[in-house]
Amino acid sequence: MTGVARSPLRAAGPYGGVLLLGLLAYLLPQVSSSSFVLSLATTALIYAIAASGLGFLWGQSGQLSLAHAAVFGIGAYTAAICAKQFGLTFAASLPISTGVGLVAGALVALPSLRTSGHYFVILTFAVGEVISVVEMRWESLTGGVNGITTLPGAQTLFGLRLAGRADYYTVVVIFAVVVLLVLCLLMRSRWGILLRSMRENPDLSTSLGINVPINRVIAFALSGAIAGLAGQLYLYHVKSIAPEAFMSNLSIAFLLVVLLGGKNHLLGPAVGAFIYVFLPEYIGLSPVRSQIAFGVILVIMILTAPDGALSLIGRLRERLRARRPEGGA
Amino acid sequence: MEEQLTLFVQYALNGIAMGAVYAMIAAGITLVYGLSRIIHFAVGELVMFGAFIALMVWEATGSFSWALAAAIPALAIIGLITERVVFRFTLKEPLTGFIVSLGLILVFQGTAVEIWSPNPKYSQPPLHGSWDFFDILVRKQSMLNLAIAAVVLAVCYVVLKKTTAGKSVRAVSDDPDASALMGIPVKKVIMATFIVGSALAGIAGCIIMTVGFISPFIGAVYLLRGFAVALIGGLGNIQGAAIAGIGLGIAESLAAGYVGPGWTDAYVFGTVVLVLLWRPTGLAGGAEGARI
Amino acid sequence: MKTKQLLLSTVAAAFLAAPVAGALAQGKTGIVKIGVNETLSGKFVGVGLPPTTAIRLAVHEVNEKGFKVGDTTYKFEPIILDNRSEGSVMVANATRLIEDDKVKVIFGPTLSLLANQSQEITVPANVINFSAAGSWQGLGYLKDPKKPLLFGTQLPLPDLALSEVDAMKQLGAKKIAYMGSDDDTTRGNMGPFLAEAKKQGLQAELILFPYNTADFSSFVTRAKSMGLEAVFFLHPQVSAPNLMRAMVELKAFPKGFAGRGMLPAAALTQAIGKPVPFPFISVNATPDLSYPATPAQKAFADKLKGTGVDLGATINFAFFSYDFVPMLAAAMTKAGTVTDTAKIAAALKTITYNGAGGKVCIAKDVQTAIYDGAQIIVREGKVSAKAFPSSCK
Repeated sequence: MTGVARSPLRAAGPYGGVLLLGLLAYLLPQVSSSSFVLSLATTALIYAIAASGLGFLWGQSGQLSLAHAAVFGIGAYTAAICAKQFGLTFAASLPISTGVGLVAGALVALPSLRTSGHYFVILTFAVGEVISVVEMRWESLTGGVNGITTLPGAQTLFGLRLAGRADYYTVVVIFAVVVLLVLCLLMRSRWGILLRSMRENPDLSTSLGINVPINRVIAFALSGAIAGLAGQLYLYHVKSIAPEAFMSNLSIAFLLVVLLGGKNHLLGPAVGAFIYVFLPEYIGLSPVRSQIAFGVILVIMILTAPDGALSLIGRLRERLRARRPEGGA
Repeated sequence: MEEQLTLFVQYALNGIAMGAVYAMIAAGITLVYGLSRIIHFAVGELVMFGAFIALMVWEATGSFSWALAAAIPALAIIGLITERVVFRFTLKEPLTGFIVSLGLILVFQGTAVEIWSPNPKYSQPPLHGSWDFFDILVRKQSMLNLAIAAVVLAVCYVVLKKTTAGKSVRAVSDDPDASALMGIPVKKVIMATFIVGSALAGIAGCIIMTVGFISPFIGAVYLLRGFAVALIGGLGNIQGAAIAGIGLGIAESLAAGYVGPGWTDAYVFGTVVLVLLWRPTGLAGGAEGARI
Repeated sequence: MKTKQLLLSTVAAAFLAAPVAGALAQGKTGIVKIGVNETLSGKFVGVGLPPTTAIRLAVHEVNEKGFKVGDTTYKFEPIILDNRSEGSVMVANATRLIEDDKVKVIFGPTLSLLANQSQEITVPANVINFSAAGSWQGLGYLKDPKKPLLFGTQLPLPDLALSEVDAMKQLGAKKIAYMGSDDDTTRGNMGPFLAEAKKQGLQAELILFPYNTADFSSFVTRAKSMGLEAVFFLHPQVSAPNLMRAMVELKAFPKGFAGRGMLPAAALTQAIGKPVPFPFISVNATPDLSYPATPAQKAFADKLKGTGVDLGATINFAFFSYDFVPMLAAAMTKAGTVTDTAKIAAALKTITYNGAGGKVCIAKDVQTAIYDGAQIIVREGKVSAKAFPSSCK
């Protein structure tokens, strides 16, 4: 996935992958008539969007944030406040929640100019905690522990009813495809190459005249904007939000999602999100035992495939390629 | 005026014992991080396991010493198992170790629910009553807890600073490659810190059992506090952890007394952010942040 | 999901299979699916477990004979889903129950923040939703004429406040503290208490603490410095012995302790190993199963213990659903339908059911349940009980 592709066919690969994923997701309601599956798939796609932003940050610029859920929550709260206090529609509040996410992402990044490495990871964690306390205590704005409720009513977007389960799912699919295509474009752009070179060797990048801090902050702002957008999508999916939903466990979930799928693959977080959301439903033990089994499976997956589930496909392909000449000889 | 002073001293005193608990958890975090560079997020769950194991033994034998004596080796063994089964595979990629510890949280919580039920449990402490010094009331159990924590932290400090084993721990922390060249068994030293770090969490759990209720879900609180203290004190720095831990305990207690607890977490983590911005490796200066 | 459903329906089948030979020899039979959407794993499993255990019991008991609607004898088939204490899974479960399984009645979630989300789905779908969530009363949902199918299963808060303030007067205190963990439960409950206390001339100060507070020393010290004489403690129940121990050791709240749904054992043995030196009153939002006042409560307590599920201090939460299962059956019989939720809800409001909680009915002004309450009093190590029978006819 890194570097420039060699043939035109491979160059179309990632874009084709995104479109294929979008098509598969779009066809899901045709395959399964279950509202349960559709509802969980909506959640998985929203997580996929948010985690793709985190994956981009982590995979491309090498920065890891534990405040991602908090920024996601800020996006959700922004959309809810826009709807409640100002009566804005979904479409009207979308640029606002995305924009606020962008600013929040950039603010989270500022400390990275002073501190780095693990200290920075923990620092983002602390920032996330502070944000959730603010959400809980600033009652006049956020509704405190009870949170805020937002109902889409009769609103439509692209001719789709936001209140309709299948329609809203399609809306989320469209956003997921757009976000992934944009990320794909960025990863393959000159800026993507610049980010990766910064990740590999910040000192060299600096001496080559690249402004490392600014580019880092921009990468963070981008991932924040995506989280803010996903936050609004989440709000209109679950309709009622409270601070409890955006605490550190969600940031942890996003990290797991990214790592499960693979942080170096564009589609990694999307694959990870579906694993994370659906796997516990299919374990089939008693609820608490399912939780234990899920934890064990996560640990094993991460230990055996630290580059994510998608890297297994690459490994498989290499193994097949290695075998082929033997078979021919 | 004198009343106000008495009250202030009372609040400060109330906070010291919990602060010592935070310091102990932080010391464990600091040791494990200092050597393996792994941010071990399941430490809160280790504290919870320590508390439940201590509770079981305390209720079965009626002896607090036995409870403490059981929690330490039990958690040391859990620490050893997690290192052998999981963390030793992630030493080259500490970040993977961090993510794996997140998966372990689910496993530990679920297992605790299966063994001890999800319901919070309460236990009586071994010591009841309080001493009265000029209108300042000192709870006996708090002082016992403080004494235990002080002894444990002092032992850790002396072992690290004065013994050969401690010196090799510090050497590995400073430069693992050079230590390996000098013949220090780096992997064994790292394994040992997982054992000691977990045992420290176990002692902390045992103390918490005497102070408040315990449940399979108390881990997060102590994890957050432990990390805040470890960071403010400087990762890899035990004295720093002790000072920062007591400081946090007192600050929480004063907040409870004077301003109400609502924003306490915001102050605690706001302090962490500010400290890290001001002194990027912690107040007392700790290990350098590894690049990830 | 398939396997999970398989597992859960096996549980249901086990309940259904047993009584087949009995009373249902003749006539048409039918199945009514009811949904349970509870926190059965994750952080809040302790909240979801007691109501779910009670529903399993109640369904089993109703199904022994079944219930008649017209000429058909029905049984309940519970579809029990775990929402993993997560909002998005709760939403998926509620959606599934309503759209895939076509249930007309959902129990839970009990947890306020999830219950708030649940009613956004069940209300537009015209599905009856039972929950004990305090926030439904606090946010006014149970008085909202647009939400006629929401039923609270906790006593009306003003009724509880009356009994709670009465307890504070029994302690003989004028200046009191209202203590609770700083969360949605306390914020949903404190309003009516504070209003009633003010009305009755008590000076009440609010002292909130973080849910996970281990050491109450400084909160107690603060109350002492404010000259407060007694405390009303809302929740969490498990912290009551800690708080009382701090009261003894720091010489605070001399006139005593009252709390909601507290176990008398906390005052008798747990706090300091012997009875506490001040009076203790437990005002019960649900009938007390550690001191069951009636034979029906005693029988229920024994049955719960027979399930082998350890419910701990939250055992009283089992009342949040137990009596409402047979009551629902009775309402369906009376309404003559198992699908028309408006008619079933209307019938529910007219029924007085004789259950483990005494006479159970739905209050007139706020759509929540009324049942027996009680005060359990511990003075000098002696336990006495004062009953507050329900006002149902």
